[in-house]
Amino acid sequence: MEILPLVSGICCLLGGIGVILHTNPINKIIMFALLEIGMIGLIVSSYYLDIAIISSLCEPICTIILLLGYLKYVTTIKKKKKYGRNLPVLSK
Amino acid sequence: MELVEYILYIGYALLVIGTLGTVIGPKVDNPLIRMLNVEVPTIGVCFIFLAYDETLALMTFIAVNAVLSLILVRAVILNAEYEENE
Repeated sequence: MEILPLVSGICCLLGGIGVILHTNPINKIIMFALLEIGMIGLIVSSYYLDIAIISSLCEPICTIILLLGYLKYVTTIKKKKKYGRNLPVLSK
Repeated sequence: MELVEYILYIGYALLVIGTLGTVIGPKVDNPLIRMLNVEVPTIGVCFIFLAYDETLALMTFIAVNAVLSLILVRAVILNAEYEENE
């Protein structure tokens, strides 16, 4: 077997296991990028170059959306703990 | 082993790993972590499309996934904000 499908398959399996096992969302997004790199490698190794263009364009968009959404989510969670709308005296 | 069988087996492995991780993974109480685990079986479905030479389906599925992740992230953030107000 050639070297490109072998390396891409190893990337995919390691990325899939890493996405499941990590618990910090930043680490999960990094391992997800590894998984998609493996997918692009396997698409290229089967000579579908037009689909490789599409997936190379859509993967960074997806990563940026996930990162911005994670930052907004963390801001929402932190704001709830620090500055709650209910005053602590009145909530008793 | 042919290249098609290799791609098909990697797709099946990613489907099984991703499904088990989504249902009984570590710390799936957080909805953001559960949504990130769902991305793994998505790539598995892409590999199965690639193994069966479904070119147009693969292109459409990859392009729709970017939009779908936008909608899911927005839904998770709105859910957190509504839980804050209650």
